Amino acid sequence: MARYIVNRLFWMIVILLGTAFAIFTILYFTPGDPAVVFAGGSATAADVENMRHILGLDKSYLQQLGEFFYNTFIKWDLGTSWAYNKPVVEELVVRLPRTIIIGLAAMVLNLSSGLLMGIFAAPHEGKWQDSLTMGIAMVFISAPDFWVALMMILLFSAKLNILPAYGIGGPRYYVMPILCAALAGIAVNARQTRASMLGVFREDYITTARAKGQVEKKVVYGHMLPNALMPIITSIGNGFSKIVAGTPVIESVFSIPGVGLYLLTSINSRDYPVVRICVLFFAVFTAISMLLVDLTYAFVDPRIKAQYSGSRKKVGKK
Amino acid sequence: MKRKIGLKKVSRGVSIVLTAGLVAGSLSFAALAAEIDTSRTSTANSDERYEKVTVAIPSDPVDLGPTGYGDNSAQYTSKNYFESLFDFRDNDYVPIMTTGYTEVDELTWDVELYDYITDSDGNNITASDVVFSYQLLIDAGKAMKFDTFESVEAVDDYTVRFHWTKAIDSVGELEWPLCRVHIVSEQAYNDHAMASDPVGTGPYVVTEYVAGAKIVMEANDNYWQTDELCDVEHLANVQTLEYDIISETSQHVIALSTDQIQYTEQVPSENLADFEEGGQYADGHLVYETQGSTVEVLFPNCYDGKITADVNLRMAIFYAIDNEAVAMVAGTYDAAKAFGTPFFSDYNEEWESAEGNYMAVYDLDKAKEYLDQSSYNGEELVLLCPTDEASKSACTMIQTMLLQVGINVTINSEDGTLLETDMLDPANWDLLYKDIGGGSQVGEWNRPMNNEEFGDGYNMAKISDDTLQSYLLECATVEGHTEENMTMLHDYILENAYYYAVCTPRMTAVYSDDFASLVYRESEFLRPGSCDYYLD
Repeated sequence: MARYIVNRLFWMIVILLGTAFAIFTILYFTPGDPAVVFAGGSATAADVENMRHILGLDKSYLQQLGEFFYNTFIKWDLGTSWAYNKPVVEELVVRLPRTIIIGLAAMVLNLSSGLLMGIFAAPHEGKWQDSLTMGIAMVFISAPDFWVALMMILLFSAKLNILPAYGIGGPRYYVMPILCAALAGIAVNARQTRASMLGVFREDYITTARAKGQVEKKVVYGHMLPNALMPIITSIGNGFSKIVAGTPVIESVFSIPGVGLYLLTSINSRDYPVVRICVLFFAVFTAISMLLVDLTYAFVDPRIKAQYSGSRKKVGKK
Repeated sequence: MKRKIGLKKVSRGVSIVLTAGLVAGSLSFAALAAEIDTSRTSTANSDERYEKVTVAIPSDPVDLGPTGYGDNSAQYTSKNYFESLFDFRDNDYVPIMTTGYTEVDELTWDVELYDYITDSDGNNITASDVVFSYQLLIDAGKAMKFDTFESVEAVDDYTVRFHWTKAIDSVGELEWPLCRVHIVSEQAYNDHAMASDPVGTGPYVVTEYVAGAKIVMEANDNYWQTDELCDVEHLANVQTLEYDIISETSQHVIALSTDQIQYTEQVPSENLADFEEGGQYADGHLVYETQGSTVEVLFPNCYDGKITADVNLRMAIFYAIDNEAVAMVAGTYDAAKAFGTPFFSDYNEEWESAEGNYMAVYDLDKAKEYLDQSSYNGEELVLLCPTDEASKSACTMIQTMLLQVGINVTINSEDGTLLETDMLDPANWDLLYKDIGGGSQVGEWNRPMNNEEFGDGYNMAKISDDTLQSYLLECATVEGHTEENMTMLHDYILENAYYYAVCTPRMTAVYSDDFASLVYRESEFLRPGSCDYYLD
């Protein structure tokens, strides 16, 4: 197992370097001159050229790429935002908690609700309980988050005046954003759980459990759910990687200065240092999330655990 | 829920008579959306400040420092806590931190500072701080429109000497070097991270900045200027000033209706009726509408070899456009009737009735006549425009109108950055839809007409016309800035069908009825501290 983790960590470095190269190259060739933006709408050609020099954009592609790699991976200098005029990391650290609060709370909500809905629907396949649960899930997944956000604002802020419409402050400010961010996830997890549960529903060991006279609750939670968990874990893993990437639409509608909005505005304003570091950060977090998902597979599924252990034994024999 | 009016006593001791006089003096540039009720107590006739005003702005100023990169939102916020040597007002330089200037010779000006200027940290501002501030801007690459500026030096503690590269003979030539450089003390700059914790000499002090969310300022009780000499745009009639950053226009409506904000210019046109008499949110709100300072222009690409370099095709295009209809679909816009903006005092309404003014006439027959005389053979013209909804709607309308006379147009809408880059290359477009603006009419003309702006000998419409250039430069001089010269230039534009002013936006503000008057800097940017507020 340890060797597997070391191997994965090695590949994470490769992924990180590859991502750094890819994002740098993509931004380099993206149309739109940052010097024009940062010089301002009234700048003359000379002003723009001067700005290009100050931003270091007048250097060749290889020179800029080399400096980026040297500063990021050797000097650990993650750069300064051209727009905000302060270190990218400083701003990320301030914004990250807001994004994580929304992402994590939404994930807990969609995970718990989604699992319960799926577990409730599967044993009632084809019955009204199943139709009702899946109908609700269908509504959740079909309603665009920006539309749901606006409807919530109209109801809870404009009409009832019980929740703030925008901004950051106490916990009340996060209620609507979390609900909006969770809705689609609830539907996805409910449908995923139901499908996985139905996949094991007619397996021989379930029939055996029932034949042994076990109560239905024990059958569902003791035998069906653990065996249906693998696809659900994959789905959770995907959701987990989104926690730090944020939900730019939700952050934008509710004017929450999180990481998603930071990245979005930086892309629009061609603030390349911010875009590069944000993307690298997401890559690291996603890679770690996926590693954790794979380790969880091993924990949940004894067959996979045996594979890891088997490979270690083979190495030992050699 | 109506915000409670603050009756907090402040110790600044502004005399009632003086404040009333200053506000009255400011009425020349103050917008009076509703008549002031003189029977009520307001900040103008009291020595109290209004407690708190929240203004919504659509984007984050991002860098609050003295060299901030110039997002439009910074125009609203920065002048509350920073000041420049002069303000630019009615094409003139109004002394703020100085007693004025002395022309040593035509290339040298001496500017004497007040010797008691302090920033909110208590640092005395001296001539060396002024030199430091200019150098800061130059080093940051933000010294725009500094062609005339050669250098600045400290002559003594409170006198700086400016050296110009040429004699000052153009209208507003020194707007940027004199009025747009924020003066900070070197000491404060070294002590603070100015980008998020700015320290300036203005009537407000930034107390909190949450990037992407809000900026909170408090009135500077130790503001340096005396009450007698305090400029009308540098008052602090509000104790706490908050700017909320709200990108979604629908959120501006909600925030107003729930009294979370007291002023915004971002209410969508379809929601304005809600705040007008009889509207669902009319209670406690007023709507102020005025002429905007920009104009949306259709530029045909006149570069050699482009199909639109053909004057007959340009005439055909212009006569085929009904800009009344375009303005209607664009939203809160008025059709332009001449190449200019009525916002400016040097705009001449007589241009609207000039012979051959295609902007005031919609004539399909004439358009077809010109098209027949042109070399156009059904080519697809590329119309480059920004991605905002108003521009896209306007361009779709133009596309339909041109199709009526047989001119095929493809719309290519691009985000601001891309458009600013692509418009520099004449190969990328045939028609360009873009707004222009400036500090005066001749200033507004500079960007689209001056072929020295883009460094390639061509102006924004890819025209390289010596006559146009000489007319423009003549109009820009102090002596040449006459009605006659400007009319001659306008006629020349009409004759050559160089530009088509489509429509001008209306600036629409929705605000709390606690405002007794609105005061705008450069007639455009709200100065909440200088507005008058009812206190009862």
